[in-house]
Amino acid sequence: MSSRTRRTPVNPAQWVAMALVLTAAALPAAAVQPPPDQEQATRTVVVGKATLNWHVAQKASAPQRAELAAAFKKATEARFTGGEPYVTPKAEPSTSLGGQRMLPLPVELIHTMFVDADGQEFCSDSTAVTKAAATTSVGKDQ
Amino acid sequence: MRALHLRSIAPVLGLLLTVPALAQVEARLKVNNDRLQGTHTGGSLLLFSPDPVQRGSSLSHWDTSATPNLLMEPFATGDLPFLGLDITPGQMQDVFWGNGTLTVNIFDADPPGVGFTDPRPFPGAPGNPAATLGEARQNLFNAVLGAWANTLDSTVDVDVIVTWQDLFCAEGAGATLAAAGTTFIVPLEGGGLPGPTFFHAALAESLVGSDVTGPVADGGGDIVVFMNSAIDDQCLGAGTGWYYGLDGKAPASAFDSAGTVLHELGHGFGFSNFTNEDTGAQSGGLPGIFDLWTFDNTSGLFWDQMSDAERAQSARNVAQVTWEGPFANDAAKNTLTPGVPELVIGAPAKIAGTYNIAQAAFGGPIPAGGLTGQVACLKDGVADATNFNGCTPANNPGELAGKIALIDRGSCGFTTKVANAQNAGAIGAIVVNNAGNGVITMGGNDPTITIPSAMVGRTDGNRIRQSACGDAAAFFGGDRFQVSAQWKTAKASGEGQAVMLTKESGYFWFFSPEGIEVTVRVLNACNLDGFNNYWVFAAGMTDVEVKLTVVDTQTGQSKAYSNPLGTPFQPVLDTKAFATCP
Repeated sequence: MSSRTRRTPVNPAQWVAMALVLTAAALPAAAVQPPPDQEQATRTVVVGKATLNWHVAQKASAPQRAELAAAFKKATEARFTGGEPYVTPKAEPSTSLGGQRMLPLPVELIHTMFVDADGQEFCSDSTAVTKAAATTSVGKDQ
Repeated sequence: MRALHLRSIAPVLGLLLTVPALAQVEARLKVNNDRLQGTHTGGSLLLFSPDPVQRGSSLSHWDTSATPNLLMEPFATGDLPFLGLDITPGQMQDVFWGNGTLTVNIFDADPPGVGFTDPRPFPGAPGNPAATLGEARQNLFNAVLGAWANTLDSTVDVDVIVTWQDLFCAEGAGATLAAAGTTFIVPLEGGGLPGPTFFHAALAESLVGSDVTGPVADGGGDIVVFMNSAIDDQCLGAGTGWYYGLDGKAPASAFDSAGTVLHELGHGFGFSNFTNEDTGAQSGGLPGIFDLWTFDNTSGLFWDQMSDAERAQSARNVAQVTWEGPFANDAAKNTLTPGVPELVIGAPAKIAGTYNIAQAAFGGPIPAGGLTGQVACLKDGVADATNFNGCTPANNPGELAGKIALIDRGSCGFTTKVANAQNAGAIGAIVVNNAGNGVITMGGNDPTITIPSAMVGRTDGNRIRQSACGDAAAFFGGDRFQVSAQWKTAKASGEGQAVMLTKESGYFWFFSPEGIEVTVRVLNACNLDGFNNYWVFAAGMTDVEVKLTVVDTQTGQSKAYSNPLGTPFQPVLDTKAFATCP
């Protein structure tokens, strides 16, 4: 019933065995190592073999985070208010201190756990949730 | 151009058509014990692709048919083993995370007294003996980030920014609970990748060995987490709130914070695509690493090989989208439960194959050796668009005796339908969904029902019905537009019988299968310049009264086209039929 055509020329099974030698696309060669984080940990916790360092986020990036938080609120509230799904304005690639290109993840693609009025907990991004809220059952059956 | 094309249809049909007779459809209901629950007939793990869109719709989850429940299924359950990452580490290896240990920097993004420093007293919870609410929240994040940090390997610290805020919450409406995602997506190339590919920030840093996103103070960071602090203020009613115990045993009125955050962090580390599944558009115009393992078993394409339209369609291709990464699929063999109900059509050859079904919660079990029989349509004489809904006793018991009855969903309870099939002598029943190609477990209780029954998806069921029963309604545009034809002469009337020719074209016969009366085409013009709708064309070789009804089953909108008795059929060229794109 279905056709299963494997990708060519790359065989996925070979990817795993292949030594990964990856570079950031359009990465300037001289700028691979950015400066290390400058925030100092306020507390360190060891869990198993892993280390967790607690920090207080620096004020410098607060406006950026506030903007992100406001957009996130708007995107997720559409689920309940019946508004149009939130669409992040098209972003230009940003460049890190290391010179790498990168894009902020559109807010509506951040996965979120919701709970509905009937108590059902479910995870989704915000692109489909308003449609799903409007979906009604079809047919009279149990 | 379109009109000329339409006028050319009739003579072409005359050359090409052989009118199909109803075929004997040989079916077998069985339980496949070689297949794991939550996997495709081909063996790979299923991703969640419901149709129509429903809560939890996103391919960035395992399918809900996976048993036992997995961490990365879309619906939170209370039976997840705490910090049990089940097969998720395998999925992380598939996207090139190493197995090992990493260091996490947790950035508290809230002012003093809020979130992690909330001073309100905390009564303590299993595994979380905190004195204040803020400390309980810190212990929660130590536990869940500790679990991930002892699973994934990186020489680069992962920076996780966490903020507790009052997000949407209203008693009687619901709430946003928590969220997590990668802050940035980073394009990498090389390593055998087909081309530049976006990676989650923390994953990209582990692969290139440097802090790509930079310091949090400069707008960097790898994962952002939003927590709804209003949940602790009982915004969903008295007695509700976050459960901060670390034993996975949240009471019914509370929300398991550990399971929720563990799941959402999984999306942030690497279990998510970067595609708008409504439109199929990729962020930044490049595929993400998740796409490279996401495979559509109908088209035979991986997600990075598709157009936007193909991806949007694939996102709703029920039970046909799989994860092809080897590590997760290996892990599934030791995790998932075997035994999946299936419908196997042996003949005719054009519909032969294995179909996805859900067995009913009532009636007899599918026998150990399977249940084999011919398929016959239950005809109940009710003159509606489908005519086979089984809500009244069958008027064709002679055709049903000893066979597997095919019935449409809708208009009455499932037990009524199956009881009518059983009373007509059927040995089993298949109910065709009327709401997309997904399947649900049919509920109900009738201890007199002893035959087994199951639901099959709409697209699959329509294919079977076309062969087994002929049809009084055809589905155009995949399975979206339902077209039916009623005819009337001075002395008689009836339903036209539909025969599909292509996905968008078909014809109706009225008096004999040999005689084509009306041809119909429903054309998708959503992407044609100057149009953003679906067109309906029809042409006829008859002068009887005809009423064509076209229903967009996705929106419920319908259009009717009538031709009076005694008038040569007037062509229909409706290029504004349905403004219901996509």
